[in-house]
Amino acid sequence: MDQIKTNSEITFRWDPYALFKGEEVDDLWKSIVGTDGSSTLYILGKGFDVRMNLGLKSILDCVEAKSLDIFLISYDEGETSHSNKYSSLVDKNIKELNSLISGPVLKQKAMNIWEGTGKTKKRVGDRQAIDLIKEYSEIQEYENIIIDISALPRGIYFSLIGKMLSLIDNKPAVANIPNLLVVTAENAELDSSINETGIDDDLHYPIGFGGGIELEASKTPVIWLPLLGENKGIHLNKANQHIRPNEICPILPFPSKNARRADDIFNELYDFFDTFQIESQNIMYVPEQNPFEVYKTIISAIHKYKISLATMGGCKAVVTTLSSKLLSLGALLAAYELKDSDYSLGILNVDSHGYDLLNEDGLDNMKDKSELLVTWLTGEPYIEN
Amino acid sequence: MRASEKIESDVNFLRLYSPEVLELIIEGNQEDLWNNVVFIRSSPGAGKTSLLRLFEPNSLNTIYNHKSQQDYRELYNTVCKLDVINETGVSALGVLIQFTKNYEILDDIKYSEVTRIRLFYSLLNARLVLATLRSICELNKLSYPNDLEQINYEYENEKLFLRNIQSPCDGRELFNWASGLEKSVYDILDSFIQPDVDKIEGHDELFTLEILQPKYFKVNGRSSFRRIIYMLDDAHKLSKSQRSSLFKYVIDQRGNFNIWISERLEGITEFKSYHERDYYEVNLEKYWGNNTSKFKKMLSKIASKRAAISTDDVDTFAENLDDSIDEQIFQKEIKESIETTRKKIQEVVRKTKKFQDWLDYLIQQSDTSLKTAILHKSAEILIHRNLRKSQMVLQFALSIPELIDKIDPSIESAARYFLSNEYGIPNYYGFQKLVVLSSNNIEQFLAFASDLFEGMLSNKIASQDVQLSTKRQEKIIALVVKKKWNDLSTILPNPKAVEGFLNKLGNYFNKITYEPTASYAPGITGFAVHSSRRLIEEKGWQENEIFEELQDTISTCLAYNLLEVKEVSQGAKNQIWTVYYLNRWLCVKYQLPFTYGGWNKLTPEELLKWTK
Repeated sequence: MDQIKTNSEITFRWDPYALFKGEEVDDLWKSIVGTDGSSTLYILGKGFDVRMNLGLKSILDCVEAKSLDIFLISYDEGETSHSNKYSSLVDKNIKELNSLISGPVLKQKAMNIWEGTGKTKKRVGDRQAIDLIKEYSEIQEYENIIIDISALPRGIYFSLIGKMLSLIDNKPAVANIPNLLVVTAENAELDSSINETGIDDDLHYPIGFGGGIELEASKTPVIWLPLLGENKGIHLNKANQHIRPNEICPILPFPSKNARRADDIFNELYDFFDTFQIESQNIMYVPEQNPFEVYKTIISAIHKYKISLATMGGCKAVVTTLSSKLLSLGALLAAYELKDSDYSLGILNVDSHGYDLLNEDGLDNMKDKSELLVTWLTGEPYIEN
Repeated sequence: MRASEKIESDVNFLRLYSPEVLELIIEGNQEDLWNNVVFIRSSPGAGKTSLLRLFEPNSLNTIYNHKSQQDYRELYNTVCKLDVINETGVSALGVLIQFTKNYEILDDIKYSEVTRIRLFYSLLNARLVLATLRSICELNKLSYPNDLEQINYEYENEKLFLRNIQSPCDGRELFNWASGLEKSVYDILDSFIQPDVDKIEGHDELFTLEILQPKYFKVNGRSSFRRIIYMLDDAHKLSKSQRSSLFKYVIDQRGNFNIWISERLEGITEFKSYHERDYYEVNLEKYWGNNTSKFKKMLSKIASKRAAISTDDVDTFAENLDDSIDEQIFQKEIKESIETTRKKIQEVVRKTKKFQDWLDYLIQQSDTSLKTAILHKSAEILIHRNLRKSQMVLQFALSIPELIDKIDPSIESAARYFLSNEYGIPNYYGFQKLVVLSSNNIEQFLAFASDLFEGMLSNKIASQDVQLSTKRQEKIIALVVKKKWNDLSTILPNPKAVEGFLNKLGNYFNKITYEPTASYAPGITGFAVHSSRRLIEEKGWQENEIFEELQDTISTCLAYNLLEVKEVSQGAKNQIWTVYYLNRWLCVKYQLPFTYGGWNKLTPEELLKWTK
C-alpha cells in the first residue's frame, strides 16, 4: 500500500482506479465471474430497499455463475425501529432472491445493530460487522469477493469493507490477492425518498475509522469535511456539536444528474453556511458518481491543511458522510488509506434508528431508474506486473 | 444571535459568559467543594460543559489578564471568591476530560470483566496524565507538546503505580509513557484485527488522582499551581459497570483530590447506595427552579451580551420585546369577549338570580379594556364553579364583595388563557415569559431568543420599529415550537410512540385546563403515575414488564428533555410525588399556561394506552 508523503507529491493507492457503470458492468461480470474456475463470494444485506437484488440479478442475467456463494447478512434494527413496518418489502426482496438463486449456495448470518434496551441500549452493529468474517481463511478460497451495499446500513458496510480490506492487505504471503469489488445501485431520487428517523443522540466513530481523533495525546486543530446531501440539516448540526471543528470544508456533489443538485443542497442548508460563516473557497465539489474522486479530493485537502498547519503540529480531519452510499465509499477509502499513517482522518457518521419511506407506492417505478456502479478495490487492476 | 453560538475563542466565550451560575457553587460550603467529589447534573443544554470550561487554564488566564476590563470584572471577582485566582495569578489547574463513547466500547470487547475494567483504568489514567500535562503547558504559556521538557515531575512511587516509567522524569518522558499507553488501548478499540491485549499495561485503579498532585510538579524549577481540579464531563456516556466502578473508587478515596463529575440527569439511578455526605451535588435545573429571579438575570445578561456583539445595529434584546398588550390593536377581540361573556352570564341569571348582583356589577364596567374582559371571564369561571356544587346548597344571592374576593391571581390567569384560547389575544410574549419558556435550560432559551432577535433585525432592515409586538413574538415562538415538534420525528428513536403519547397528554391537559370551571386554574401541565391496583404488587410500574413501552416512552421523553421531573409534596403526611411536567415549549403547542402547579394523577394503564 502506498504511503502518503509529507511533501508536495502525494501518491494514491487507488490511482488509477477501476470504476464500472451501465453496460460496462455486464462485461465486467462476464470477465471475472463467468470465467471457468473462478469462485465468487457475493455478500449482500437483507433489507427493505428495493435495490437489494439488482446487483446479484445483473450477474445472474449475464453469466452462468458456476461457483457463486451468497452470504446474506440479516440485521436486526431493534423492536422499536421504524423500519420494522416495512417487513413486507423485506419479504418481497427475499422471495425475489430465492427465485434468483436456485443454484448458488446461500449462507445467512444474523447480527444485531443494537444491544440492550432503554437506557442501556447501545449501537453494536459496527463491531458485529467486523466479526462477520473473522479470519482470512474464511475467504481464501474465493477469487472474487463482491460486497453489495444497496441494502446494507452505513454502520455495517463501513466496518465490513474495512475489515475485508484489512484481511486482504494482511493475507498470508503465499495467497493470491482476491478481487474485492463493491456494488451500489445508485438512485438519488430513491435515496431522497428514504427518510432517516431517530437519529443517534450520541455519536461515535465506527470501528476502524476513529482516525485517532479522540486521542488525548494530540490536540491539534480539527478540519471537518461534511459530505453533504439532502434532508440532513439535523444530522449536520449534531455532528458539528460533537466535532467542534476549527475549520469546515463542505463537499457538494457536482457534476450531478440534476445539474442544480448542489445549489439545492446549499439553499436547504443556507442557515448552516451562514451561521458558521463558511467561506466559499472552503467548498469542494466532487462528481456525484465517482467515489474515487471523493477519495482523492479528501486526501488532497487533508494533505494541504497538514502542510499549512505544520507549525501548529498539523491537524486532524473528520469526514461526515451525509450523501449517497457511493460517495460515502470514497470517504471510507480515504480513511482506510490514511489509517496507520501520520495523518489523522476519522469518519463520524450520524446514524439513525430506522427509516421512513416517503413514497412507498412509487418504489418500483423509481427502482427501474437505478444505475449499477461497481468499484474495484483490490486484485487484478492493482497488481503490478 | 445564533451565529454567536459558535464561540471558539476563550475571549468570546468569557465575554458572553454570565457568572450567575457560579453563585450556585459559591453558595455551597467551601469544604464541600474542595477535596471532595462534586457531581454537576442537569439535562442537556443547561450549561454543565460551559461551567467546566470556565475552570480550564486558558479561561482562567484570560480572566486574570483582563481583570481590569469592564466586561470581565464581575467574572474575575466571582472566581476570586472560589479561590482559583488571586492577585498574583491563577492558582488552580483545571484538567478537563470529556468522556466519549470510546470508553463504553471497551465493554463490548470479548474479554473478561476484570480485563475490561483494567483497560478502562489504563485508558483513563493515560488520558488524565496527558490532560494534566496539557493544562500545565497552557497555564504556563508553554507550547504543547513541544515544551514538555520544561516540566519536572518527582513522585516517589512508593506504591509502585508507575511500572514502565521512572520517576523523577520530565514532562516529555511522562507524555511518551502516557501517549504510548493511550494508543495501545485505543488500538484495541479501533482495529479491524484486534491486537494482543496481554501486551498492554493494565491498571486496577485510578491511581493518577494520587500521583498527579501539585507538589510533584515544577515548571522550570518553580511550582505554578496549588490545587488541581479534575473535571470529568459527560460521565453518563460510560457503561454501567464503568460508572459504578469509577464512582465507587472516587467516593471511597475522596479527601485527597478535587474531582468534579458532570452528567445528565438520566444517568443517576445507580446512586441509591451512597449518602449525601459522600459527595456534593450541584443540580443546575433544581437551582434555577428555586432561584427564578437569578435565572432571569442570567438570561438577560446572556441575551444582552450577545446582542451587544451583533454587528447589525440592534444591541439590546429584552427591551425590544413588547411586554404588554396593545389594547387598541385587539379592541375588536376584547369587545367581543366582553359582550359574549356578558350574554352567557345573562342566560344563567335568567335561570337563577343568585348571580344578579354580579351581572349588574359587570354591566357597570363601561370600558372595553382587557382588564374588564378578564373580569368578565373570571366571573364566568366562578359562576360555573358555583353551579357545579351541590344542588342542595341554598340559593342565596352572591354579593359583589364575594365576587371580588374570589377572583384571585390563579383565576385571573386562567381567565387570561381563556381569552387567548377563544379570541386569539396573545399570551406568549415578553422577556419574563421567554425565561419561563426556556424551562431552566440555556440552550432552549437561545433557540427561541435567536429567532426573536432575527425578527428584530428584520424590523430594522424594513425601517420599522425594532421592538417586536406581542402578536409577532407569539407568532415567532409558535414557529419555533412547530419546528421543534417537526424535528422530533427525525431525532427520536421511537417517534410514533412518543409523539402519540405527548399528543394525547397535551390534548388531555388542554381539555382539563379549558373546562368552564377551570378546576386547576390557571391550568394543568403535569402528571404523576398513580397505580390504582389495590393488590400487593411485587413490582412497581417502572419494573413491571407489562409497562415496558410506557417506561421506554417516558425514558425517551426525559432523555430528550420533553418532560421535566419535579418532586412535589402533597396529600397524606406530605407524601412525595414524582410529577412529570411537559417541557414549557410543549405548553405553547397545547396552549397551556407556564405554571408548574397543576398536575393530575394518572394510572400506568391509562398512560400505557396513550403510547399505542
